[in-house]
Amino acid sequence: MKTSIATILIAATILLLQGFSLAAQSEQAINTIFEEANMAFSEGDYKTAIEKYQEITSQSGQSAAVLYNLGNSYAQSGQIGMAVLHYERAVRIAPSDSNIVGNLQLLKKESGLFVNEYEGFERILFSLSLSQWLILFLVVLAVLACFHIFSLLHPIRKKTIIVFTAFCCLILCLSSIGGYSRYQKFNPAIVISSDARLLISPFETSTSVGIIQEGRSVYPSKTHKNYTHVVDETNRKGWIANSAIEAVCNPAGK
Amino acid sequence: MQLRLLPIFILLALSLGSHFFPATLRADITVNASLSHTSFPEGRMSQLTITVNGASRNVDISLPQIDNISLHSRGQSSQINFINGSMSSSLIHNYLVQATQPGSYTIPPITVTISGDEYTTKQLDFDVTSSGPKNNSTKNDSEARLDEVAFLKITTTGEHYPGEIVPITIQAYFNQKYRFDEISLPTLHGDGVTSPQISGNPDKGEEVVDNRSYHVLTWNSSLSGVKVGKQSLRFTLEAALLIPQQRRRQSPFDDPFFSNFLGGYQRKPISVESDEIVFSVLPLPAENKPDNFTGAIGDFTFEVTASPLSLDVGEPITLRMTIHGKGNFDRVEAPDFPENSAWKTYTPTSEFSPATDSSSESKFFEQAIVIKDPAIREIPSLRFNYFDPKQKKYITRTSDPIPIKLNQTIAQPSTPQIKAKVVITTNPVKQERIQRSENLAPIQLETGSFHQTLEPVFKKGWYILICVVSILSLFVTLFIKKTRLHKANHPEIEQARYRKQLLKEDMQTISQAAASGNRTQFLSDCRKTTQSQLGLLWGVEPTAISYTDLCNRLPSESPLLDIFTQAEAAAYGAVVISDEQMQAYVTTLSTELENLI
Repeated sequence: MKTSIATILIAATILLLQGFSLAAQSEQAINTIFEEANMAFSEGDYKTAIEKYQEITSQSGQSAAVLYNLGNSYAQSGQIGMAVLHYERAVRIAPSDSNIVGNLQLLKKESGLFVNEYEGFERILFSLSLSQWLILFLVVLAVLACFHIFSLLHPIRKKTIIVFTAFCCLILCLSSIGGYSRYQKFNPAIVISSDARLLISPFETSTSVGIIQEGRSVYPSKTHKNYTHVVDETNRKGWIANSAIEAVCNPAGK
Repeated sequence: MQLRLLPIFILLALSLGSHFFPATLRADITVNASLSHTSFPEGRMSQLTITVNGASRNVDISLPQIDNISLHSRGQSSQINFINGSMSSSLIHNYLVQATQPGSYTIPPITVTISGDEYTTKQLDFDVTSSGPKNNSTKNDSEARLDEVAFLKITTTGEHYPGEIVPITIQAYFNQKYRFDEISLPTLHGDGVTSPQISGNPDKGEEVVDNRSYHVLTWNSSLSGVKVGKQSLRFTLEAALLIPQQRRRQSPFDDPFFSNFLGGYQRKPISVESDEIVFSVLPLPAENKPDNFTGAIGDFTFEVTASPLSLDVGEPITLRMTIHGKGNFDRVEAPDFPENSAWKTYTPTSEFSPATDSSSESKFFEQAIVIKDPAIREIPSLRFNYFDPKQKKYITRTSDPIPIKLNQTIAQPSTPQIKAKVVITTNPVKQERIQRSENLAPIQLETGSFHQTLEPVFKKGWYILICVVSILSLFVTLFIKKTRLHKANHPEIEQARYRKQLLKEDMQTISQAAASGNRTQFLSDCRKTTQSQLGLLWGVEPTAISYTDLCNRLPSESPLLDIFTQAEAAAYGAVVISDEQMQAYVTTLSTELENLI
């Protein structure tokens, strides 16, 4: 009996160690590909760099750094739509990374992709990213809970409790509205084709509503065969070929 | 061999010479003192020269102390002359004589000690005159004296308008006779006028003013009025005047260089002020003032370009507006694009190109505009308004409308046409973009953590957990608080609970007494229970409650009266009650007291 338990434990330990070893090997392999991709980028071989970075994302998922480097590679190779797409994805992971945000803004500005401007209350709602609103919500909620627990143990003036609670509730409401507004635009699709057009019907021979610039964001509402009905940032509506756009947070998670 | 010994011979000769020459010269040593001016006005200085002929070292001069007179050493110089084969040497000490008050002064004979022998100079008399009666000038004497040392000159200004940039020149004059250090930048003093940060690199030159040579530092700056009216202003500048320090003893090396090097100067901070000037700021005329006038004052030109000019509906046009000229560019703003529902406009970006040398400055604005109406055929003309201070009127520069060609035609859906357009519009953009990509931030060298999905943070487990815990804590806390508040607001509930608990315990004691058959104890417990319950109910001390109180406050038919009577009687004498009666009392007492609760 004791011998069999010992055998099982040894086998489990070996399996565990093998698992760790495989994970370490996999991480090392990813790092090697990443370095190769960076080397290719430095040498101006953006095509190879893109292939290597994509190999990493298909194997290990998405990291802000890999997506950012991928965005840089696409930008350098002149594929504005794909560059914007990958910068946008990187921003979803690391919204406060100044390099990512800076490159995205620079690319948009230099490509004539002017960012939509908000006025009045909308400006406040869109002043923070979705993650920032959500973190603000969480922090204020936790602080409010801690404050009330503290007020149970130590007497605090009723007026102070009311004012503090009201202030926190106000911030919670604002962050909820801000988060909701941001979430509505959390997953746009980016135009990745340089000859994309909005059509009035989901057919190839349909009349064109107008050209839509590569790199612009559109918000899909419904699909029909190979076309998606979208609304662009200037509230133009129309059908666009599925192949011309790609969602920032695509269902496959790739 | 002989050549090798030559340096030794030279050294020997010099050594001998140094011993023999002073001895030979000692007999001819003379000491003289003289003043450059025997009469000079207060505020000016005279130069005292002490000449020691026949000696060039080991000279110690003992300067006298004279009231209201200060002597500043200006160093020493030595001289050796060979004339017709005979050699003579002399040592000259210079001092500046400065008086703090006018009057007649005497410099007594100055003792000069040379190699242990003392020599004296002759007495020197001099007069210090008053600097004269004060004139109508606003400057006092010390200021007048300071003007000879250093002064500031500002170019005069005329009449100007608020916000107008008025170029000025600030010149700082420093008398070449003096040494200065730590010269600061000129500082503006005055309300209602602003000046930009003055550059720290002035132009340097020299100039002669009133027969005095000055070093001149020149700064070019500007003034801008912010308040209407006559604004008085002046500039000041701080500097340190290096005054030669009065030395009583010679430096150990007996050389002017070391005398100066080893603490020769004293720093005296001075503040140099310019004359007060009046900067007149006139109000801008209200007549013909354009509505969208932003305060730009100067002389400007205005140009507008746009690209692309052949495009589709929805495609952005970049409008580039250039304002060129001289004036207050900080007030120059992008001309308003005419409000029109056919256009969507974005906030313009601006870029300022400062002047190089004397050329004009430029400000560029870039604005994205998008056509919303397919009927649009041209970009409307834009207007830029400014005020010209020379012409003293508002000027409006108007750009020409820019024709545009819309490619989008509703009835032409063919694909080949689309592709043809794409070739035209996208290729130049790509080429330009590759050139500009140098501005991108560099790639990252660490992979960082990987994520399988791009999901918002509120879908993550830790976020949900913290939210749930916080909300639950909040609800629990609020519930506890509410309960506490309810108790605080209704103390009778708690009291009733306490009375109920007390009654329960008392009734258990009474039942135990009844069960044990201890009638006296039973009745005593009944009495105590009745008193304690009624004491709590009436808010009085239980032991103070008597039969009379019960009679007064309870109904006359209350069974408690009978029980209390029996209990009182038992306390003072033997009372015999049966077991059945005891059981009946227990039930009655419990019921009656519970009813009271």
